[in-house]
Amino acid sequence: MTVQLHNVSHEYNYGKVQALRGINLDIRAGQFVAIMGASGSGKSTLLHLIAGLTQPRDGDVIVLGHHLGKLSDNDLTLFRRRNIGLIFQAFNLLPTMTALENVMLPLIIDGKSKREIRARGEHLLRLVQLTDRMDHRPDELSGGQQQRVAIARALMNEAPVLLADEPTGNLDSKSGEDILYLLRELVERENRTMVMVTHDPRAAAYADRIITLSDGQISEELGIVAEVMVS
Amino acid sequence: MIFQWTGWRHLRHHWIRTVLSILGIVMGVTAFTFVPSISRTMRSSASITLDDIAGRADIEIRADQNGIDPALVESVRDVEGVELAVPLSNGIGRLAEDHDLLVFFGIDPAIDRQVRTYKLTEGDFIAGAGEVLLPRTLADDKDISVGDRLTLGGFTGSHEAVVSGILDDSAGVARLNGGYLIVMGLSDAYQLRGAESLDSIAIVTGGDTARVKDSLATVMPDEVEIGDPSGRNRAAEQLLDALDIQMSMINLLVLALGAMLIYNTMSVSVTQRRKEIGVLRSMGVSRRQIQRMFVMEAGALGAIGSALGIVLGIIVVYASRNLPVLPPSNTANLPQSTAQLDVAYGVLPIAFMAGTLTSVVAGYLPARYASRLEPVESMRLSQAERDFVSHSRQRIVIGLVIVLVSLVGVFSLPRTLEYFAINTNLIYLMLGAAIALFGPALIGLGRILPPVMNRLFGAPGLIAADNLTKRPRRVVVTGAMLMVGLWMALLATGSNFGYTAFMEEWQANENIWDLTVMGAGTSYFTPIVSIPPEVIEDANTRPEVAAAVMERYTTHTEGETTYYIRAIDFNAYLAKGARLIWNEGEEDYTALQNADKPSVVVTGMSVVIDGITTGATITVNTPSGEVDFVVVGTVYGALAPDQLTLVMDLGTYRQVWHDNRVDRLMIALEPEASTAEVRRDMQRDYAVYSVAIVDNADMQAAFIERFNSITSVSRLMTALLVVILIGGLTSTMFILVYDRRRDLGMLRALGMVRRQIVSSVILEALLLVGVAVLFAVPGGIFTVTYNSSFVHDMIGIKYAGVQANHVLMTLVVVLVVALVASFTPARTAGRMDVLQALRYE
Repeated sequence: MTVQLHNVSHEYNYGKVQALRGINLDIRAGQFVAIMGASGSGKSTLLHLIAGLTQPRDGDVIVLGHHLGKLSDNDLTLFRRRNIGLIFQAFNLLPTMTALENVMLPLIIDGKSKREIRARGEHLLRLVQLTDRMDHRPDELSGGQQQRVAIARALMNEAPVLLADEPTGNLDSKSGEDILYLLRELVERENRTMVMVTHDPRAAAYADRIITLSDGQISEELGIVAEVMVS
Repeated sequence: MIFQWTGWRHLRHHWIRTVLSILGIVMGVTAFTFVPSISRTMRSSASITLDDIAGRADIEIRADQNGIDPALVESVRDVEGVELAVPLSNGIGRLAEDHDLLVFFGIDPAIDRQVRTYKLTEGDFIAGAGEVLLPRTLADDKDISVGDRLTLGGFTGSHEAVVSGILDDSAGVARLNGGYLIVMGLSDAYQLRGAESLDSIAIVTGGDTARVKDSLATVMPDEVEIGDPSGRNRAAEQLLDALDIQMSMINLLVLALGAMLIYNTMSVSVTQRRKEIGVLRSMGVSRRQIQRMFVMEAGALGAIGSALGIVLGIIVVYASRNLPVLPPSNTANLPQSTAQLDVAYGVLPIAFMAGTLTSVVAGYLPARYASRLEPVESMRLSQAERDFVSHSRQRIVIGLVIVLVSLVGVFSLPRTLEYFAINTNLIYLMLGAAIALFGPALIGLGRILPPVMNRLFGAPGLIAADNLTKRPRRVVVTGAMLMVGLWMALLATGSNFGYTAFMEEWQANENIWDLTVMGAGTSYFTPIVSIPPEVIEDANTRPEVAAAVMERYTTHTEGETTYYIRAIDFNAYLAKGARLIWNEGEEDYTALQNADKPSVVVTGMSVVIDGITTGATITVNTPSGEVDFVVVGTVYGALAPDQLTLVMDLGTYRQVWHDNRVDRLMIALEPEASTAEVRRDMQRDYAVYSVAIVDNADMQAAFIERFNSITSVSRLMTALLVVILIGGLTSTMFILVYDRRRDLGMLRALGMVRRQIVSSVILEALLLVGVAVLFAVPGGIFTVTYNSSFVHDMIGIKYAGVQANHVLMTLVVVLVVALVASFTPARTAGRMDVLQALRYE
């Protein structure tokens, strides 16, 4: 299993808000999983736990065989650096860097020189169809283009696990569809494991598997995209 | 209303940034309150000294180096219009078996109280010889009571006296010299001084002062000065004026640093609230209302900061009340009163207005920018940065033009006192130009710095350099603030080191003597009586004495001009390795020793003011007739800073003046001789003569005392600047870290470890300091060299110039400041919760 959650619970505000209650979840390698649910259902928290951005109050989160709760902050950061690709709803690109520099950032952080990783950065930008925008800064790009840069950045470190938090939340429907198509294609072509949080059923339709959260618990799980579309 | 809805909420929401910005203004206004208090206290000290010494006199006859013959007092009293003529003879000495230097204040007890103020707290006023009065401070410190018998040690051995009363030293004569003074009758003072001579005669007239002055001139010798008592403070006032200019500039700069912080905060606030501005504009809020909203915010921050700054300023003044704030010059060789450091209350409303208005002005530019934003622009977050970059060419042109104009001005205007203020302001204008050039310099470094830093420090280096050079608008204000601070720190430390270096040089070259025998006088530098020939002969025949170099100290007056004269036996002087501290001209003593062609080296403020240079001729009406002295150079170490001192060979002096007197004997002992023993023997053997025997340490201590009042203020300013630098940089780094919280959260999410985040923030601070150093060091060195040398020349001491180790030390201090200031913000950045940081708006 690529991702395993055993009886995971999480809370905020010193227990006042119960975000997740006893979640058990296994995600296989190469699977595209969509996590749906209403606002406050705990879907983003689940994604953050898998990314190791926060630790559960109870239970175990195991990603690629690593018990995240047993790793030190440093090791957890290094694990994330090499194994997780993150895509945010707000893109979160560094405003001072060009599109290419933003894409190369994960490997620059890992100590690689720009020269040795430049070709891969350019390749990824070509992959997301931004060949002509490589030297543009984020504010010179549209929202869809910025999200493409963020996707290319998530692919840069060849992470086996991609996590996307509402990747189309800030985009118009056409740009959103393009992004989802791209993500779907990447999962299939490069055999990555993808966990995507969304509240949009049309976005979820691109996934192999849809998990719906309600009040911090898995309320529904569907394995066939067509069924969602029909419902 | 809009301000209440959005602005206040925003300030409260970002309370850390708000508090830090307010702190900037607090520091600025604190300095604004404190610095004028120092200046005012210096003037007060000069003024009360005048009151305490001259009392209610309206004319004062002041002695030259040789004193006034007491017999002349009667002639003065006979002048029509003179109601009172009150003599004064003072000297220095010690209590037996005590090392503190005291002032002996010799008066005529029968009449002195009609002019000067004495407040008896215990006992009686002195009735005649053998009785003394002590200020309360001295009595308490030395545990002396009324009726005690004291042994006083003056220039001529010891003298017994009984304490008749204790004086309140909160006012009047007892306040002089910090209360370390003994009031006695004239006959006692003469005995301790070793000479029957007066320092001044205070005169109270019936009214027509001018006419009385004219009449006095007819009965007094030419050498004495007849003038208003305020004439004493002339040189001190001139120097205070110069010092005031410097302090005002420092004051304004400190306030400017605070304003920069406000500007920084308001700029960040505008950047962050673009969307909010866009929404408000689209809802029909006018540009003027938006502008007013931000100006009011800045004004509110300024008003709060100013109020707190005033309170803190008052606290700092009260905490520093015991600082000896003396005027920078004591030309009259008389004791001085020290006014207690007190708040310059008149400046408080100005400080408040200045702090608030500065904040409003600092907030105006971001406010104007905010009001001009189109609603749609709110999505384009770095428009402001791009605007900034596109205006950099204009800044370069403006900056370079200002630098050029300032340099031309500085080098073409005369180096005289009248132009000092203009020259100083031109240098500060250059500082302004450097601020304008700082942003373009950062942009220029954008191509070089990031790859270099990436190679050296990896991702933290790249991110630090990127932030610095590609978001210059956000850091340019901070950088400029650092540059100004560093520039000023260099100026302050340069001045301090200048004085210290001069003292070291004086100690190494001039004060090399084991013992100095001198004629009695009011200080170690102003002998009044000459050394008897038998003392000179005896000193030369003592087996422990390796060399005894003779020097004549005197004055020569011609009309309005008084020359101080140092005539040294250069043959013996140079043979023992002593030398003058040369300024201009070739260090050639041969010319000085050529009696056929009288030559001098000159020193003193007049050298600068009158523009006397090497090669000039000074004609002096000597006993041998008019003699043209060729100036072969200028040296440092004036006897009286406001007068011209002629330094010549003793042979030349004797030939021209026909005067064989000697006032100082500089003695080098044989290596095996004990200085303490020889001194003790000489004191015993020469007790009957009016001479003092002091050792090297005594001379040095007396010399250091002359400079303490200057350096204490300048050291205080340095400390203030360091505090402001740390405070300013810390708050700015905090603001930058909090403002970039989302970016930092994203970097952590992408896999940047805490250590890398910490390194990145520290590297950014260091880089910013580095760029500031690039500007500040050349600018600071230029300012120190030019400005300080000017001031130092005026008071007749050598400025040592900027030395590499001083610059290095300042840089180390700045480096430590950068590390200290960035450490906490960096640690805060490293410890930031990733998810919270990512949610930050």
